[in-house]
Amino acid sequence: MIRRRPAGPRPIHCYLCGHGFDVPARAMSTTCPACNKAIQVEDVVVKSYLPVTDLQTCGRISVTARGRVAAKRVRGGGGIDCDGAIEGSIETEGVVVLGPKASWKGPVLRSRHLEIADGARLEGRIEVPRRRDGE
Amino acid sequence: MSTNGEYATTIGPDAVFKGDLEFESGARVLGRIEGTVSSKGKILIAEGSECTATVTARDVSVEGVLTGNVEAGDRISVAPTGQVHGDIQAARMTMAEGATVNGFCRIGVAAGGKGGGGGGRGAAASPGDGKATGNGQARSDSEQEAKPTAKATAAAKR
Repeated sequence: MIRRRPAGPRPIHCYLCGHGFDVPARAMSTTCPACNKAIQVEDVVVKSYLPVTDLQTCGRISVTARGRVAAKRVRGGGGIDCDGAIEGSIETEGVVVLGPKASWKGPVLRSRHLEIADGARLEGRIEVPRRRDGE
Repeated sequence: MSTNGEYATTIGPDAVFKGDLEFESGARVLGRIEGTVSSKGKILIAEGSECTATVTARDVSVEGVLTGNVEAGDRISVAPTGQVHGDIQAARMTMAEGATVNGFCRIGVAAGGKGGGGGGRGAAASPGDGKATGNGQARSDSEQEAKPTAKATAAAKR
């Protein structure tokens, strides 16, 4: 299914330094003007088992019911939707939504807000709302 | 906001209690408690209340500030004004927008049971087991499914 993005620039925050800026709606990656690092800005959908070191994007990360992420760190600047399983630290400036069959296990979950449906399973340290270093 | 009828006991806003409190049914805490609180019913830490206590109950609602561990047999609810600084163990959890939680949480995982990382879909794999794609970033996009490698699939089956 083709996902349509709204036309025009969309605001993002760099997941490395937190700097906010606009990117074209169809951009997949860019360079942060503040930290000069290459960053991913596309939305990510995980529909199967995905073992990675870091899963990070300024867009939204969605883990479907059959999706399973095993990572050291999961960073989704636009928030994280999980109906499957995530193992690893979660960091996001947005909202983490855990569906009724979702599970998360990791050292730490940092987000602005956390929505937990009945039946979801969590195990790990939660810091909500997240605090940036030095706060 | 809960009605008074739900709570047989109310600790008033000007009360300061230090020690162990045990309730047969629900209790509403408007004042301060330092120690332990246990109940077979519902405990409400009302807005404005600041408790430094270990709370054990079937249902726990936090609208004020709670510093200490919480063990809820059924559910813990944290209101927008609520803050929990401590470890939480509960079957279910509800967090309102603006609520603050800081601590180790074990939700929906039976005490002493295995963690939720597997989610009943096979054994949990540690992050080190998998292979990162490319330069360590996940290779994925908005329209295509992330393709598992043969190694990853084998690891998932194990």
